[in-house]
Amino acid sequence: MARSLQARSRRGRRALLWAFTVFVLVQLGGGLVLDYIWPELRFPTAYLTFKALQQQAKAPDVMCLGSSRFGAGFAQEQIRDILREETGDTTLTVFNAAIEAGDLVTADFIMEGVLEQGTKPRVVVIEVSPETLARRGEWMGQHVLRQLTWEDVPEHLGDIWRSGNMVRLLSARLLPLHMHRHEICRPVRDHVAALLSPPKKKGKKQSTQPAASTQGVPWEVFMELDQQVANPAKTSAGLPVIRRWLKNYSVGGGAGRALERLVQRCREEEVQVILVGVPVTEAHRALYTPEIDHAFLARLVDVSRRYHCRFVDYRGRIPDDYFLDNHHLHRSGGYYFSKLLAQETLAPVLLERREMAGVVAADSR
Amino acid sequence: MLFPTFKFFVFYCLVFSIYWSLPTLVRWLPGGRHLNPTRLRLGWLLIASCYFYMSWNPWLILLILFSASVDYAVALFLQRITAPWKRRTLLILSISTNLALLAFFKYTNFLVGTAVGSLNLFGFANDPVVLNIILPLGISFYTFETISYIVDVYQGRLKPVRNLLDYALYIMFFPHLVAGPIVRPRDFLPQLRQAKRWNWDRLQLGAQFFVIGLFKKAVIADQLATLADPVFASPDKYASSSIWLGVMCYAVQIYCDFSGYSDMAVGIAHTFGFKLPRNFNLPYFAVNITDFWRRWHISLSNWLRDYLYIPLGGNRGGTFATYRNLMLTMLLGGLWHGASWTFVAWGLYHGLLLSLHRAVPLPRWTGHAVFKPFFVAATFLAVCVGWVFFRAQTFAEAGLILQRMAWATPGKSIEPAMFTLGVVGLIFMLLCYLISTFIDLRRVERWLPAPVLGTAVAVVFLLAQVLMPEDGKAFIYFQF
Repeated sequence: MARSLQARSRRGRRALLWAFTVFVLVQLGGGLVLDYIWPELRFPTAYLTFKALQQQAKAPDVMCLGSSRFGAGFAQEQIRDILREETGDTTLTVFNAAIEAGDLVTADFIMEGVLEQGTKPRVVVIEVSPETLARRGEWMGQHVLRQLTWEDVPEHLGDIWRSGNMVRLLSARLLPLHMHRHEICRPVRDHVAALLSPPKKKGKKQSTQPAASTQGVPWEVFMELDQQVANPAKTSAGLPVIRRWLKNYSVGGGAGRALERLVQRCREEEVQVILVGVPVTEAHRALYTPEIDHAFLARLVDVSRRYHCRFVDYRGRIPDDYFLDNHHLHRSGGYYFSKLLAQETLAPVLLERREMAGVVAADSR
Repeated sequence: MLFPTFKFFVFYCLVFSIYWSLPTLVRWLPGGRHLNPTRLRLGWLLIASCYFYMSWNPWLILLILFSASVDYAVALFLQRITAPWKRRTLLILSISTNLALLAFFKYTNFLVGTAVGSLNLFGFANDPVVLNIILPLGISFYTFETISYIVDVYQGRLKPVRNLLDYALYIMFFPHLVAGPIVRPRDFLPQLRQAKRWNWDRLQLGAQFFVIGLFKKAVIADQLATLADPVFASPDKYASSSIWLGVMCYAVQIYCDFSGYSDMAVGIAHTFGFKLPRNFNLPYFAVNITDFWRRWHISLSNWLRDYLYIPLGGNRGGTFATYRNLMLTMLLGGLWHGASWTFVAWGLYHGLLLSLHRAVPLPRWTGHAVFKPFFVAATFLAVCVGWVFFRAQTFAEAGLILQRMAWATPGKSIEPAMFTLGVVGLIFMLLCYLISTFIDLRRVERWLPAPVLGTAVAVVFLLAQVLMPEDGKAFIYFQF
């Protein structure tokens, strides 16, 4: 009897060890697969963007990197049309590579991926704001899920700790199959749904809405919304979140390093960088205390000087009427901002580059 | 703190590791060698259980401690007092206190609403006052446990517990605290006195139970809920076929949700060296409604039988009394589930079915195995009809669903992908049931080599992790 109990206990221990080992190996193995073989499952919007860029006939002349703020505000078709008119270059293309919840760490990741696939824009417009340059790194929760691999963890550990995302990091690293289950199951679900759905009828009326931009991320949700009259409730919505992001503000951390790495890489690749302070509402700007502004601007001035890039501040340039909430422009607001950006900043930069290229060409002859 | 959450995982790991290492840890303390490791472990479990309960609402711990203290004190008095009228008074005092608390927290708004509704029938136009009363988690479960304790002590079936720690842990042991199983003091209290020894086999068994429970709840129940919820939310839109599928999916959902939770509770208890009673035994393979209630929420049905049906007289008072007692027991059983007339109707419906089953004996030849599938299907369908009342918010909604079940009605169909999900879920459960019925899974489990068993547990756990929906739903029985 005692021997039988001992045998069962040993068996139980072996079974548990096997269960633990198989579980850990499958999770870690699955994590490595998601990190290096199928990273698009972790970060689908980024890889849609890469794919959309690859499908372009040529590299875009102007590309923007940012968050949903730029996603909503950077009307690429309008900017393209204005720049073609201003520069006379009818082949000029513009691409909005903004990613939702994208900060400077995301921008660095996107640019790295874009350059690695051989796409080199002439000008890169990078969204900056005090929040995205904060040491606190509020977007770390997204990064641990979307893009950070085991190699990146040591560099970002401090930011992850400061932003309170250690649990998320552990979950993402140790339980990747669970954390990305939606993305893993989606292809199967979509396939089954496609098999079971009735075939679409021919001659269905096409949507009269402009086709989704050639970028991977559909920003129509913002572009389709329009609001002529400022709604104080809406334009101040989300302010408590921003207030939290700006608490105990200091510049640097992972975001600061990402910005420097990004502009440095762009400089090496001879990609002109324009840092753009993204428009926000008055109530939002009121949260930028003089100390926050000073720290933010000082860092940008320093980066601009060292890496020979420009910084233009549009934070207070757009009236509140053009906003959906405290920091997203609606369609008309996006057109307004895009027009300003294209005419005031992008067109002169492109013309200057053409002039410089002309001078260089003349010199080389 | 739900079981399938990271927060609970951290809590459990901490409680588990300290529980088993306490005797070793205290040995290093001055005088630690003289401390009783079993008592230490129980104390630690009680602290952990208090924390577990307080994570829902910190103040409601006072309620459960008050309820436990009253019963503990009354039980000790019952042992000393011999005069029958005094003992009865104490019993009534204890039960009344527990039921009064339950009535206040759970049924106040229901009673007020019913009273105002009744007055409105006579022309008084009043809106019912809705009091903002928080329903303490698990109150229905622990109230029944306290009642069973005090009644067992009164009837001499159990000696009162001398140590308040033991009694408090019986009530508050966190695996079964919020949604059962309803544990009998006779089954649990002796386990507190047994020394707990580390047992890998028990730990492995506990892990198996937990993982299977997690799969049932997080994968099957929560996925089927995505189909059943829209159907019950807008039954007027759906065609009869969709209504039928929605109802059957809800039947499987509630079974997997509740039995999944019970399995997880049993598994967790196992890892601490405690055995909780089995709460489900393939209820949808019942051959009649009486059999169903021997298989569904076994701890509740046994409690209702022992502490309500039998004290009312059971089947000893003649035909009329038997049916009355059955109906009353099931009515109160329905009311226990929720403060709503639809739950009462559900209880009455089952009371009626039980009475009918008793009243209409079937010929002996119907007991032949070849008729079993027919009786199983009929019982399942009858139970599904009952679930309509259980799930619907109002009688109008229930009536609409039943109408569409009874008469073919056109309407919206469930999306093909969801339909497939529902059918696959139902077939999967049927296969599991069939396997469980015809194969002795315990023997198979004992025969399997350790690597295969371990891998199977890991695979089920991984599947549960990957297939659980994005937004996990709360346990259905938490609301009771």
